Amino acid sequence: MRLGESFRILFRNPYGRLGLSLIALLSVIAAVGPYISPYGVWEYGVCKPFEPPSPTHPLGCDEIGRDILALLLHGSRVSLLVGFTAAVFSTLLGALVGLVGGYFGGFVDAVLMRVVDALLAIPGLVLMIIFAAVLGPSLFNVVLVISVLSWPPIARVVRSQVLSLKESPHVEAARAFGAGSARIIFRHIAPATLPLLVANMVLQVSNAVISESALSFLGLGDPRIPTWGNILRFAFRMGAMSAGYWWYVVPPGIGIVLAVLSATFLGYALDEIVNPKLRRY
Amino acid sequence: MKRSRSSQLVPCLVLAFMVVGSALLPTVRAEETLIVASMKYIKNPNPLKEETWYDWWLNLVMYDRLFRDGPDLEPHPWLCSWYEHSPDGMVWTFRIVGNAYWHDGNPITADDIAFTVDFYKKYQPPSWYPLVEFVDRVEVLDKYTVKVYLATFNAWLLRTFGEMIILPKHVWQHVAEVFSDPTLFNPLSDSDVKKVMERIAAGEPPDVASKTKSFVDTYKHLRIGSGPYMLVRWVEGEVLDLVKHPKYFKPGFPRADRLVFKVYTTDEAQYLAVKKGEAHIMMWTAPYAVLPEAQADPNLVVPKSPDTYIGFIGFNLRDPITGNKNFRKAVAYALDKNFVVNTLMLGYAERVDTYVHPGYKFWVNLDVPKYSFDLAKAAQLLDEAGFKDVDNDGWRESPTGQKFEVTIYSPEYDPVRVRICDLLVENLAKIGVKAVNKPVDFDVMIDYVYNQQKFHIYIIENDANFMPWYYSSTYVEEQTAPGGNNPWGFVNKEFEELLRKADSTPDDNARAQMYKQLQAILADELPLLPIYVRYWIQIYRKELSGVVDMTGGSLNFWTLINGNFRGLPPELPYTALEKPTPTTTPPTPTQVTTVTVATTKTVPTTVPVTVTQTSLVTSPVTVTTPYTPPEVVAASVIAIVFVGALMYLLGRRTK
Amino acid sequence: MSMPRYAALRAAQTAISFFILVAIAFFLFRVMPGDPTAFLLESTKIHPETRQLLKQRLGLDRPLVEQFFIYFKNLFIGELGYSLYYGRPVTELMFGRRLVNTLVLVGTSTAAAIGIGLVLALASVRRYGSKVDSALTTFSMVTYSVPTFWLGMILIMVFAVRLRWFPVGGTVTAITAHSSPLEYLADYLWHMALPFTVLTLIEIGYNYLIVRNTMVSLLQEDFVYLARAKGLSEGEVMRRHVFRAALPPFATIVGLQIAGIFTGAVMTETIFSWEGLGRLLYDAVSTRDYPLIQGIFMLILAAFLATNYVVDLLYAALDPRVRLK
Repeated sequence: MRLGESFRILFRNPYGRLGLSLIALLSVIAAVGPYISPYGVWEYGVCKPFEPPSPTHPLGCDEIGRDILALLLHGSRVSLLVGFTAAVFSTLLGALVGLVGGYFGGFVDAVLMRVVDALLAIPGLVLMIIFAAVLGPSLFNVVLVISVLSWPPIARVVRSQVLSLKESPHVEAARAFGAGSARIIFRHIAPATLPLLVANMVLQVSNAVISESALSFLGLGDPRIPTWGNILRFAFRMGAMSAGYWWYVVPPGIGIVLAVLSATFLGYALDEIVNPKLRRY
Repeated sequence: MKRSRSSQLVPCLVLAFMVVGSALLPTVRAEETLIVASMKYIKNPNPLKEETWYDWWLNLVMYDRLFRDGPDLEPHPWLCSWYEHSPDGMVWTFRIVGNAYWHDGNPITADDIAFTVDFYKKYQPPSWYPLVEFVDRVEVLDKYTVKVYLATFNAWLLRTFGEMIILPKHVWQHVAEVFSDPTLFNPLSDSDVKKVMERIAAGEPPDVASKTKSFVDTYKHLRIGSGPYMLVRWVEGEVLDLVKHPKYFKPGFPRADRLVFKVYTTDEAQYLAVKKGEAHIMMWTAPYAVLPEAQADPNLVVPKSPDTYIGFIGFNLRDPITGNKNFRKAVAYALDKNFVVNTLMLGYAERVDTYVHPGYKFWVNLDVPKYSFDLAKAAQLLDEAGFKDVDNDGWRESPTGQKFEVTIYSPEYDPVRVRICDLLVENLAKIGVKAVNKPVDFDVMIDYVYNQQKFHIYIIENDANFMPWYYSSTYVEEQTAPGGNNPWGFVNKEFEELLRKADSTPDDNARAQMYKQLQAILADELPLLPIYVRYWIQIYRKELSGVVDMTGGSLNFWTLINGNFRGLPPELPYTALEKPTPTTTPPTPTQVTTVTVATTKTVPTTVPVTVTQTSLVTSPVTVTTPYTPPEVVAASVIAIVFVGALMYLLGRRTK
Repeated sequence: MSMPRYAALRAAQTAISFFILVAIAFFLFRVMPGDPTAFLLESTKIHPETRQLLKQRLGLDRPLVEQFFIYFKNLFIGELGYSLYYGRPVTELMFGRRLVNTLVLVGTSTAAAIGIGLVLALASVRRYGSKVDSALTTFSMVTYSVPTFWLGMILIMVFAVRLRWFPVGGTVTAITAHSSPLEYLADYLWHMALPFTVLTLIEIGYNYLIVRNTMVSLLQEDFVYLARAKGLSEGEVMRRHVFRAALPPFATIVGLQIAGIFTGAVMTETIFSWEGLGRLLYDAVSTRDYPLIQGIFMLILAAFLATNYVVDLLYAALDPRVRLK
């Protein structure tokens, strides 16, 4: 399926349209945001603490007088980037494990699947907190943690596809011609899993963005960088919720929801394309 | 038809009688319940395990001591009705009041005190053993008098030994029979209580045991103390319910009939509870966001008292960089304390420059050098010490010509402290010192600093480091071992000698002078630099009278025994000493008996809690922390490349 | 392989996994840097020497391997040790109110989410392609995209702070003993309303999407056409064939959610001050309370492995091909 064709199908799909347009919007905000924002992240005292929205500060201010819109614009880049990176890495890792385990089978597969089971059994939060404790609270660790926790399901999905692909005719033919395992895996099997991978990866982005916001909210991210989860963390801790300062609480959440939704819609549309059985006719 | 006058008269007389009569009847007072919106539940129901603030509250009202700290932060006689000490201070005699009773009705006697001391010495519970370590033995002279023989002189006896909780002998003697480690005893567990009760019934005289038994039958627990409130119900995570001790030895106290600690696990929830009237006073300090609204609320009082905790940064004196005194002084000059207090803490804090908490007016040395914000001075000090930029890269090198970077650890759970360190990093950059702020998990920071002792600078809040009676457990060489209280590696012979001398001086005035000198040494050597003390804003309802504002907050022992809804102002019912102590200078104010605290002190409506606008706008701080750390950028680039490859492969595939 | 043999084999595998994971966890937790007595440094009026004394008491200085063997030995007699922070038995802390609170809140909301999600999914599949289907699917995707803690904060702001219909947090309002168990229950449920709503809403989407998508993809399978050709009504086709075939993946996610009950919902418990296991675990990890972390971890692990086991058996019962490996 050619790339251009895929895009056209995506566009015809209402979810695909929504997803793509949201992603486009968010990408623009992330790229341009920090430059159009009138205030910086570290400009304390440009307005009164907890000042409600006004013409000069459309989203009001936080507890040390920083413009919330500025925080959102600067934070968008980081939140989206972290989500994206974590999703890609987890997909990469999961695909690798799934390919190797599915193709070689036997002992290798058994061991890898046990590892997958083990990782799925340990509650994610505990693992995340342990990581943060060992490595220190930082964004890189957040990416690492999300990747480590998200790859097992992907490995499983890829593996089951590899298992069925293994028996397909042209793989058998390649083997008959004496092709080595690596060549078979990467030349013949992997490309067939690509559509599935891409669809999953996009869905992983939504998972990653939510995970990052959750981790930041709990304080496992870097407290100095205003990701959307971090902004909510301070809103919670500084009492904005009980004081009813909605301008501190609502906007970051909406940002998260939009980012996740865009990935979800897109992933759903991709799923429909990749999995012909889901297609609407 | 005329109504007879008598038929009109009678109802009038009856009415009049009723009106007059009801005015003459003693008014039946409604039961007053004081509800405290508390933070966490108590950690452990065993009084020996007083390790957190919340355990401390319960013991505060449930167990009495010989002395208690008043609002002036000095010990005042409480259970103690008279005391004296030998000229060398090695033998002390204490007499206790004769009308104090345990919650079960048994009287408190000198036996209980002697038992408590022996008990703590034998089982060494970590929370209480340091208070009796220096005691050699205790002798009971008569029913209410004990003689305490010290093994080593302790200048702070009244504050340490004097304030330990007294345990009832008739209960804990038998706890020890059942539990070889008495800290494992759970006085609220039915099975534990049953076991101990059996031993009490067997081992105590019948009149004693029967009182205890009826207490246990009614209240179902063995947490028996002698304090103004006794425990009724403890449901973990929900409520802590106490009633007033019917036989408390201070008549008229406590004023409330019931005291309830209701658990709301966040400070916001506590505030909302007080605002709604579900509770009367907060335990934690109110979050900044609600203060303007609270001040405008006619039902609430917003007090402002300094906390006992002081925020400070500590230096590692073993490191070649931070071990350099000029460097430390330069850092001190580079920290803008006023900005911290006014902007980062929104004005809800005060600057601190002293090495004893300013609330201890008798002990604090206010004349120590104050390191005011002065970047030029800081730069000059660095130049003098040899920290010059030899290779012109914009950063100074060490006196030996080596490049360096100073690491500052901040606890990531507290954004204020993280920001303070960011500020410091920024200011240090302005004078060419390369520093980096590393927010880490609190436990991890403690491990790095106190156990591994691998750090340059760190920031923390603490009260013990600023109390004179703890100096000898802190600023001495033996505490520099890993895990000790001297992670800075502060070793100063002159200091330790003077400290030893001061702690062996029975005369308070002389000792105070020496401590002032000690503080001057600390201010010069700078193992740590105090920065701020935050305001503890425990909002309470207007209808609650009897609140005492003191350092540490408006919720304290004195408020808890004085709190009432009848409009009665607070009183401080210290125990009047029977006769003046005959030996050398007694510690400061002991002659004070009942002091009526002026109510003006408790109503700080005039205290401005709004933030001064000017200091905010003038200097927006620009901190050079990158928004996206380089590692994340690298990872993202790799990710983008990978996705591009995927797209390419996808497009190339023909099906 | 017959069912009993398969069941026994999987049981053995599960037990082995359990012990290996517990052992790994033991060392993993203690490798974390951090001092379990650190909390004392920020406790008021604690004598500086108390921290050092407590450390000695807790026996944290003995070699790790020795601690490990002691721990495992105690494990077999059901002795989970004493919490470093609370000083009370781990079992007392775990198997008390907190467990009940978590099970009630997360259990009921999970059940509700599964139930409602299932019903909505079935309704959607029946009206596949219609506006109702699109609306429900979009709704599910939106609720699935909302962060739990944010939704909680919004609900509190609206319903508890502004409207004052619900309490802000906690499990009960008690300051006096409730006059009857019914009153206690009512109070408890009133406090549970908001967190329950949050959790249910968030999870509905997940269940709905999985069921709907699985069933929809199955709709194109040959056996469905065959069933229709046979003359079965649409309802019967759905019930007997499609739904039955969709059971395995559905059972998997139900199992996952049930197992996840014990981790509780840390976010929700934090925001609503709901004293549950999730919160306890989080606090325990924060204060490096190794025995407590270990205890809760084992409980979660046991729950997870047990539900996995049950689901595996279900699969094997439903689909004999699984057993033939």
